Amino acid sequence: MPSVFKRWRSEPLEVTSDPNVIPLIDVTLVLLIIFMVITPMLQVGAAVQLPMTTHPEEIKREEKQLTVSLRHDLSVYIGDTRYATLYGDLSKFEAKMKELNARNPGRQVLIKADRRVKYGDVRNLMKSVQASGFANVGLIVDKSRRS
Amino acid sequence: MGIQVGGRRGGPMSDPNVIPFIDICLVLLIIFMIVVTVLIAQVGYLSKLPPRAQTQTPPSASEQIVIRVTSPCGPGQLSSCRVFINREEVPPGQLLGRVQQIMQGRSTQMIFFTADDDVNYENAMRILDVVRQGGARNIGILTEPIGATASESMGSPATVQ
Repeated sequence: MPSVFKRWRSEPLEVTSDPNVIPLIDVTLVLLIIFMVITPMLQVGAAVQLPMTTHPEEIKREEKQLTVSLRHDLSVYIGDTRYATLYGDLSKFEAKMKELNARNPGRQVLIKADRRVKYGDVRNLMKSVQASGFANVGLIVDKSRRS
Repeated sequence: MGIQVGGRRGGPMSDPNVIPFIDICLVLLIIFMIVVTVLIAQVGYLSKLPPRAQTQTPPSASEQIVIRVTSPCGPGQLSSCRVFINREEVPPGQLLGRVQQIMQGRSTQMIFFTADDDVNYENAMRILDVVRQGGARNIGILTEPIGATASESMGSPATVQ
C-alpha cells in the first residue's frame, strides 16, 4: 500500500469531504458586483419602448455616436439629458445639436423613438437633426424573437 | 437537525451553511450575464438624411425609388397600411418580393423611404425592415412631407388615393 494512504489513515477524524467553497463565493460575488455595475451603464438614452422588427442590422457601439431619444410623451433627450419637447422648445435642442456638430462634425446620430409615437413626430425630429447638420442617422429598434 | 455540512461528527457545527447562498449568487450572476449580452447588442437601420437643398439638380426620375407608407396604419395594424413604390400600390404581403425584384442586380440602388404623419412608428419600421430584408442597403429617409414642392420633383406621388 502506498505511504500516502497510510498518512491519511493515521488521522481519520481530520478528513473533510466538503470542498472549500469560500474562494468560489468570493469570485462569484465580485463578478456579480461587476455585472451589476455594468448593466445600468449599458443603457444609453432615455427609457423607451422600442419598435420590434425581425431583421434589423447590427449597429456597432462607438464613442462618437450620439443618441437622441423620443419618448412617448414627446420629450426629446440627447444622451441621458432631457432637452426639449417636440413641438415646444425644440430650438434649445437644435442649438445643442448644432454645438455638438460644430465641435465634432460627422457624428452618427442614433434615434431611439418610442413605438407608440406617430411617424410624423419622428420625421419632425429627424428634420431637426438634419437641420443641425447631421446626415447619418440610425433608427434603433429591438429585434423581436419571433419571426 | 438540519443538513450536516462540514460538521464534525458529534461536535457542534460552527460553519454556516453557505450552499444556498452560493446557489442564489450564481443564479443572479447568470441572469446579469444574460442581461448584459442582450443589452450590448444594438440593432436598427442605418440610413441617410438626404440634404434638403437638393431640389436644384434632381436625379432622373426613373432611377428614383420612393417607398411611401400611407394611413390608415394604426398601432398593431400592419395589414391596414397602404404601401406605394413610386406610384404603384403594393400590398404589404407582396412588398418583399417586389423589393427583391427591384434590387436584383443593383444592390447599391438608393431607396428613399417616407411615411405619412399618422402612420404608427412601429409599422413604419416594420415596413422599413421588409425593405431592408429585400436587399436595400442604401436607405434614405425623406424628411419633408411628400406632396411638398421638394418631393414632387423626386418622382414620387403627390396625392394618391
